[in-house]
Amino acid sequence: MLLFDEQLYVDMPEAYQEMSQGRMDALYPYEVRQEIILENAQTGSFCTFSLFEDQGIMDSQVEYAIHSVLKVVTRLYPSCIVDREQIMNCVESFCGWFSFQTQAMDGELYNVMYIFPVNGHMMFGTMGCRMEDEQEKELLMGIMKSLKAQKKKRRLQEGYETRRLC
Amino acid sequence: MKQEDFVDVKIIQLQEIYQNMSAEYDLLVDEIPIHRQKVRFQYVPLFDETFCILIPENFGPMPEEAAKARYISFYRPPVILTGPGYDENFAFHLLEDAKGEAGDLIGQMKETVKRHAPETIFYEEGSVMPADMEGGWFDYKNFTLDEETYNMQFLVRSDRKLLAGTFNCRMRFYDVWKPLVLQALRLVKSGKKGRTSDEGE
Repeated sequence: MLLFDEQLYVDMPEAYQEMSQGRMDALYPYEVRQEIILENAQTGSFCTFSLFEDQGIMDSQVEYAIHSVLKVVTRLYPSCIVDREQIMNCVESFCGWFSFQTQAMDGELYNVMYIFPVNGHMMFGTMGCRMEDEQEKELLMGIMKSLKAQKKKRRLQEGYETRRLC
Repeated sequence: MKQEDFVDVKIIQLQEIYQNMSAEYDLLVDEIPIHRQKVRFQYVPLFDETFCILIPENFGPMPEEAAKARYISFYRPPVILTGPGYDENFAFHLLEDAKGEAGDLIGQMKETVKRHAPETIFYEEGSVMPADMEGGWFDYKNFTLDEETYNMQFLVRSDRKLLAGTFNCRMRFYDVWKPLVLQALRLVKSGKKGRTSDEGE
């Protein structure tokens, strides 16, 4: 699956589809949302992606950046951390990630946040599944490992749009 | 070292003196010292004057941009009244045809808070009967980006209408505000009172 005008490749299982507008409004009732929100309706798992084109980041800054995000999360939820920040090797690069637990209506959720540089810009991703679903956790790690930045293609017109999935 | 020499004992004694002094203030007539200012409370009508509650006179509607930053959900309270530095806030919802006793609803609200943020530290809860209306409250501390926050959530029922509200401030000032907010709750009125409404702006 290619995202953000083919700048990011991710190996996404077919079961993950774009979340419906109704569910987005219910689960993400915010002024500013993640750009791409996918969910596996059967397992209740989700993946979101946001490319911050006004936020540059170098590979050497990834660890510090994810540590900063972790600090914010622990300010809000002091004892929620499951996996502390660490680096994961992806196809040709690496990302920084950590995981934490939150409470949903029907049990605990396992959440992952990660940062992956895409053409020098910060791509911020989140993923989540039920805490007891070990198989889904492995699948989410596999999704993260598959991330690959593609070089930005030249376009005839100036600028480009972030394209939502069809 | 004698117990009376311990600094923390002296601090606690001073806090108790301050709390007693705050509790003696009459919100209806007194100027109350808050953050080195003398502040009066005045009735503010809410939701087309369905309820009226005493609010510090230097509070006003929170600007929309600040409200969007502090209450990021679309379902933010329709009425948010804030102090000069946006550090102290009253927020209100009106629920129509609400069923259930105030005590049960307070319990449900506590469970919701606990489920959403398990690290929340709950303090007290109680009931109020302003002008023979049924009401309840509970307070707690939660963790926010910059500082721990003190919160009080409360309900006041008048017939089938339910005023649901929250107050929050920085945790270090909770002992200034808690007795004042509780007194304001006890003095809630229903019906047409107070100055021109400015809610929903």
